[in-house]
Amino acid sequence: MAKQIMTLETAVLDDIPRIIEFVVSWLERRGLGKYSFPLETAVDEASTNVIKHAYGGKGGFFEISCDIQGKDIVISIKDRGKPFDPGSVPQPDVNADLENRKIGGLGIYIMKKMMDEVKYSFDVKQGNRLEMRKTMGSAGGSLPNR
Amino acid sequence: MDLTGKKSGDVNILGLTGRLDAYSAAEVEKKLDAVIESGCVKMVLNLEGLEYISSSGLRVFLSQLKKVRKQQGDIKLACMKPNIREVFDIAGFTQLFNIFENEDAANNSFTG
Repeated sequence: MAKQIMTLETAVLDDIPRIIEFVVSWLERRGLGKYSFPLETAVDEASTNVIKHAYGGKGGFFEISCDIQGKDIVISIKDRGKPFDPGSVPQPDVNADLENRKIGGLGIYIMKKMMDEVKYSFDVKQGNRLEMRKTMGSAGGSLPNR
Repeated sequence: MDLTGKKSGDVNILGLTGRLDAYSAAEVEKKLDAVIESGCVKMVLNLEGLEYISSSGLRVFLSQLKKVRKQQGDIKLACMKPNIREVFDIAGFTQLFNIFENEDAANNSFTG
């Protein structure tokens, strides 16, 4: 089976390189190394959000899985922190001049641009779940819709 | 993440090597703060060795650019790798920064 899962009991920022390494080596073992850049970027932004916002940097349960479903590479992240819907963060104005430029929301914006689909769900028992999909063959392995 | 520096006149040329992510961003911000506080507001960042940047890294670049521009300085970027460029393009940072092919061109643009 293609699916592989990594679980951390108390994920903190120091764990991010390890999380990314897990995803990148999974991709490389399947000959999908050309998707490393968009996926590691999306996973970095998503994991940083969980650790910083859902857990407030204090550490907490974190699970990431990599899978292939049809033509999609599917990365799922689960945590049991505060509900945090990336869709609730307003989209940044990436055309604003320096004076009016705000940095908030940029991580989520980049994450969405790197993937073809990002879905979020929350339930009291399972906590937060983020599912990100990258369709293989889209935009030559780089960014979608460009 | 590694940051090395040298001076060329009143321009500080700094080389960034490694990954600029949430983990390393605070350290880089501190180092750049120290450069600005020492009175140097003209900087060239050589990004030849920068392999990766996340939004945390972009945040540092943006906040430092705001600081130096307020003091009639600038942060010029050189030798950006294609992946880094792509993140800059997505974030709309390409039009905020002066970006150069190489370190000399960036450095010369201060005097030219």
